[in-house]
Amino acid sequence: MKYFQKLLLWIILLIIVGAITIYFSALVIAPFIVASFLLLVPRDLLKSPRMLIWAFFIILSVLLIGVNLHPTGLSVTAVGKNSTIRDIAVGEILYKINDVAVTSELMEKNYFGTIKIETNKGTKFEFVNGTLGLETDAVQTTNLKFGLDIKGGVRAVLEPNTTDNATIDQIVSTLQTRINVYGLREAVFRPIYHEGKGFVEISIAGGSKEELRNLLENQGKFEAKVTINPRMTGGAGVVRLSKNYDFSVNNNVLAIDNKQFREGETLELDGIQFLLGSITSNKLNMTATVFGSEDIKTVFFDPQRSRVERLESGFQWSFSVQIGSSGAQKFAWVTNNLEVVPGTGYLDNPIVLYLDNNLVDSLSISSGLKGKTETEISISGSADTMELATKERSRLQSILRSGALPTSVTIVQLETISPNLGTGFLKNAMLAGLAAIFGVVAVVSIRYRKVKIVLPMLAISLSEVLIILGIATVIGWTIDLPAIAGIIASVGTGVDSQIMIIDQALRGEVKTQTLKEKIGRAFFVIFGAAGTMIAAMIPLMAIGFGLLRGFAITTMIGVLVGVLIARPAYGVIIKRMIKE
Amino acid sequence: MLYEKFEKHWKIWLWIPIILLVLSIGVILYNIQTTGSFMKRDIELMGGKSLTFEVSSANIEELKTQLPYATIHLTSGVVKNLIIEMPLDKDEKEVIDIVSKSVATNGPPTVIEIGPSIGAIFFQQAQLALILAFVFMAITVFVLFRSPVPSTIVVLAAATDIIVTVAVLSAIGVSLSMPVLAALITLIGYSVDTDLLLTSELLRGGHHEIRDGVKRAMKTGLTFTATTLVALFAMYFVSGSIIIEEIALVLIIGLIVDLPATWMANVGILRAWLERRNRKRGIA
Repeated sequence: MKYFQKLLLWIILLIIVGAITIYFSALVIAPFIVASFLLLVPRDLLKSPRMLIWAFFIILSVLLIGVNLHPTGLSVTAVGKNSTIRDIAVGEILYKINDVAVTSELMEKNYFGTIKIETNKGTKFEFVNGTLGLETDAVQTTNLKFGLDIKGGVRAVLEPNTTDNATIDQIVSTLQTRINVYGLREAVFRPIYHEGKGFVEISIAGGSKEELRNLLENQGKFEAKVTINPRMTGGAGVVRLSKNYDFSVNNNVLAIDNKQFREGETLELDGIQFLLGSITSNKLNMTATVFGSEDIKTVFFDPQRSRVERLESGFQWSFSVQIGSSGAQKFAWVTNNLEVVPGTGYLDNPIVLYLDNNLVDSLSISSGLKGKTETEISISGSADTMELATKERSRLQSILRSGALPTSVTIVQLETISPNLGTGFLKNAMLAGLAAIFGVVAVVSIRYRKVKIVLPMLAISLSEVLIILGIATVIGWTIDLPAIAGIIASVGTGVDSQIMIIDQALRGEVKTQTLKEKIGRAFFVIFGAAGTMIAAMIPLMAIGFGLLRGFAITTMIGVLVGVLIARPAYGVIIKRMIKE
Repeated sequence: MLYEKFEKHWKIWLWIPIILLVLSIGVILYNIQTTGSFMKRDIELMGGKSLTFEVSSANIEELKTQLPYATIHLTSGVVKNLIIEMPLDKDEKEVIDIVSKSVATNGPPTVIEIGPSIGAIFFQQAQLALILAFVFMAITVFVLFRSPVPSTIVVLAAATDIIVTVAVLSAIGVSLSMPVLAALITLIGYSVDTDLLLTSELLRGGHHEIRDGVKRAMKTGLTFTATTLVALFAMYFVSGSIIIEEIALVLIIGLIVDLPATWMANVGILRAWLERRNRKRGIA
């Protein structure tokens, strides 16, 4: 094929790609780069290992980015506190409700009774009484994660009013517990340390300022409940509290303390609230509230009373809690009605923990505590790793503190990013990118006047962007404004390096140097330029708060991709062209 | 031809970057005297509030009279950003009311609030990052050339570029923000590119005449600058994002300042050094 025909082909491709890029997604560009690469590059070039490595990375990146042109369904971003749906998790993709394809309007409608929901995890039947209580978002067209500045949301930096850095983890754990318990929108937490002082950065994608305040202020009501099952013989039995309360059951009505109760009613004995569960022929089912928020005096965090220890297999965590005397008394009376399960060392019913009437956890009660008035109790458990054990401990500590933060916090930085701004920006960024590419192509075309130099350069630069995005999906990096700026900076260095290679390869007059020496010297400058860029970014990566850190890391990845993958391939192409 | 004229007077040209450097150091010292920092700081590094609206057009002058306490900026682009910065104690709702009365905005604004204490920490870190970036770059240059004099000259040229750029930015009223800082650090990486190219060409290019080496390096180097500038101008005019716009502006100024820093200062000093060295080597 003649070169001008190829050029024509490229221009047509570029126009198509440009149009698609602006109206759909930037990543649709990927197959076109591969296609044009195969069309333009002579076959024998493909035998070079450097070219193969380059092509391999391009194809891998395309696969990793995983362009999905026709996304169907809606992905779940949060399951509301009042939702009756139990079997659907955040991240699941909904396809159909009652055999109708889902839309956001359909999600808002009221449903009654059992409905059929088809998701990417299979078909499920859920009982609904009213709205679904699920928050959903459109399914992403690629595997790339876009940052807050593009998707919209809130980001805040909290400063705890204490100098103790241990509380930073505690704050993160408490807020995470709140999100799980109240079905709030998923948030990302990042501790930041500066000169011995800790901060917590919170990002809530798609969230609002109100949701953030809600998260920070939502303090719950803690309750711990124990179920007892007093036995009956001949329709009568006894509940042992401060004294023995004799009771009798007649026609499913419980008579105790001179009063009568039915299933589902509450009664109070010795100041303890009981919920009357089922009544069967030989036993009762009564759930006692043994502790409320006011009964938990202190949750200990100090190293002596809050620990994680290595076991033979796994790790054991434990911490102590100070209970008020009236709480301890209630606990002693109620546990007196439990039985020891032989051989386990535990009582037959656990203590169940609730936050705002949501069941959050349950713990077995050691047989030694039966009937004891203990004001300091120890809570323990085990996990496979140190990290999991620490997390589990922190979670329980924060539940017992009613989900209260360990210290008051001040919002020192607050950003609310409008989602409109993000989509507008993405469009503008693509336009700017295209304009920049055309500008560079124009300058290079004027300087060299050779299509066979300009086209590979363009292909290489675009491939760099693609590979950087591919790496971003692997390491779970979020594409936000700083990341885009970083990509631009590294591609800019890349174009310079390519010019360097061409100029060195094309120089004729210095006869004393071979082509290999000349290109080798070009690589000295290229590695030098890459080295200085990376050197300049290292401190930024090490020190930087959010924005700058992302920029530094993306630039470094981009420069490395350029030097290690793209430039060697370009060197091969140019060497072959000079030989021609 | 133009090159021959330029090349002939290289000793005179050397004075231009020197004068620029001296003036710039003056501007920076004045900044430190008056504001306590080398450049005026943006709210991100001082503490304050900023609102960003998406608009298609806005009458800035009218807004300025209505919001005397705020700094107002409008970006370029098809979809423009209207940025309003103000002190922390001002009510953003009032500003949103005023803006939505006179400008058709697209959706709610992006709001950023930064406390003064964290602003100060950001600024401290920013300065540290800038200094360390420069030191690390310098070390890399010394390792690359393994020759103290040319390395020092390269580092000096890069320093001239950064210092003059900071002075020009503060003279045209740009204040130091996170994106500006990011761009300055990128500039540290960028500005040495041409210096590396020139130095490697003169030291290892195998030229008999220094002027041939300079000419060759210049041809390549100016192509570097031209392509990068074109791309940056495109981004500056089209992006419509304050972050990309600020980064582009800093790099545009930096790359223009890099021209005298490399092709007058670095060339001049390196030539003088090479000629002295070559004379020493000659046969007497």
